[in-house]
Amino acid sequence: MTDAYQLITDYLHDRFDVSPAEITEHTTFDALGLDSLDLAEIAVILRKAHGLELDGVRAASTLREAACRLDEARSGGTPA
Amino acid sequence: MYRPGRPRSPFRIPVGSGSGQVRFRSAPVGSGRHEEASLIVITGATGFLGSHLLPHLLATDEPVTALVRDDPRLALRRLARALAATPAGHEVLDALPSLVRLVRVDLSAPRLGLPGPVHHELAERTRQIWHCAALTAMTAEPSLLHHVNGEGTRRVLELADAAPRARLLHVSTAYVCGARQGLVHEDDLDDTAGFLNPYEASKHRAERLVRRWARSRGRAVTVFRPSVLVTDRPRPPRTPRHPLSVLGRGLRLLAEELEAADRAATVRLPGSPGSTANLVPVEYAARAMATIGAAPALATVPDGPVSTYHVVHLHDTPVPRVLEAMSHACPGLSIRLEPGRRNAGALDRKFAEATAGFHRYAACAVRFDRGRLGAATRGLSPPAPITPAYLRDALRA
Ligand SMILES: NC(=O)c1ccc[n+]([C@@H]2O[C@H](COP(=O)([O-])OP(=O)(O)OC[C@H]3O[C@@H](n4cnc5c(N)ncnc54)[C@H](OP(=O)(O)O)[C@@H]3O)[C@@H](O)[C@H]2O)c1
Repeated sequence: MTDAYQLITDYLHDRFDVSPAEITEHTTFDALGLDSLDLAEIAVILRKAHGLELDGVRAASTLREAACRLDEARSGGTPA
Repeated sequence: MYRPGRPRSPFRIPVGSGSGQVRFRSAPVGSGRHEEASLIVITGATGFLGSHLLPHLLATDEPVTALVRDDPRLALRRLARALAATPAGHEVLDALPSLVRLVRVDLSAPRLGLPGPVHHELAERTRQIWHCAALTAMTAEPSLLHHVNGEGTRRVLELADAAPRARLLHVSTAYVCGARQGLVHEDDLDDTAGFLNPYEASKHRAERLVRRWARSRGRAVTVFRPSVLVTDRPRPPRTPRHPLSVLGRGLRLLAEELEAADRAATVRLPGSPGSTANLVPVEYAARAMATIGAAPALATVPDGPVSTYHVVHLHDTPVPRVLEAMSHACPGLSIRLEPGRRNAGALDRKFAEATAGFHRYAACAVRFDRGRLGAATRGLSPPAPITPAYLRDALRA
């Protein structure tokens, strides 16, 4: 998977105590027990530390979807 | 959800059958608990209140069945995390799979989404039904709130209907009184003052359903009306939040924004220095509710077969004390109370969003009578008044 995916999973591990065994690309934040406030916190950290926006990601989004959003943000926009 | 051809008993289904239930492997403690004894059934066990209540229910030595919405294996993990964050939860963690049976339900579907025989068997053995599940986001979509809190309660009543031996213990909220001011008695239920948010309205409607059902069936029902449930214990990641922890998180996010914009700000809330909030430590509330649940239901009370308890703190907390703690959680933000209504500016709106509807409570001056609660929990020491230090810790959680 991409760096963005790694960034997210590392953060989930460090901040939310999520073990690698709990995660696949298709795991949703919701299934990990994270809620919209947790996502808001992740968004702030990503903005502050990496200047990246995590727009459009919800608790029902999968980690893969979140990583794709970050990749899009990195490359400067949504692919057509 | 349920596959025909599987063993008929809902309690004899192998792990991972996909039937919506977990058949727990036997463990020394509690194995066999579920084979024939009567049951305590609880909805919302994975939530903030439910996870504090569960250890008390388990202490009765009766088997407990938790009705959950997730896949039971996932729900078990969530339950274990939630319990680990409670003071008494550690004692039951190791034996949890043998102590609690998880049954996956759809709270708003007929028969809770269970096949007829499964629903019937569950109902027949049930001695108590604790209905704790609810959508608690104050500003969620009214239709969603109605669906979960209204329809969900209706389906729980359907279970109670099928369970003639069962006593229903319904968790409502003290704030079913809506925007009322002054003293509210434990038997009062009127909507004339309107509601501060759609959550209150949905809980009001749910309590009405429960009362109407109790009267029409002549069934004993215990209604608990907690005020704002809080704790000052730290909150581990991925565990249920209480209202002050939601508020604290919103304030910290707002603080980040203010810091990024490098500015201080003042929010003005409609309210007065005399406004109060009733905050009650969840540890006390759960113990009080369990104490009442363990005693026989009151036979004759003024309101027919329904006995209602305001599960509230003896001492209200002054709103200015809460605001001071909030300012502490959000450096750069000063929060002022102003009498009367005013047009909200951009910052006021942002504050309202960040605090998930809290701002509407800054003008509250409601007091809750707790005579029946006091009489039913004489042996329990009431909690100490909520101090500024408690509030700061609760907001940090
Ligand atoms: N917190 C308070 O200050 C407060 C005050 C007064 C009254 N109350 C009442 O106390 C009860 C418990 O509140 P709480 O603070 O523990 O809330 P909570 O932490 O938000 O937990 C809510 C519980 O309800 C379950 N739930 C929510 N939607 C559901 C659905 N559609 N189907 C099945 N289960 C669903 C949740 O399951 P998941 O884990 O799967 O999400 C969770 O177990 C509620 O009735 C609430 O109205 C709370």
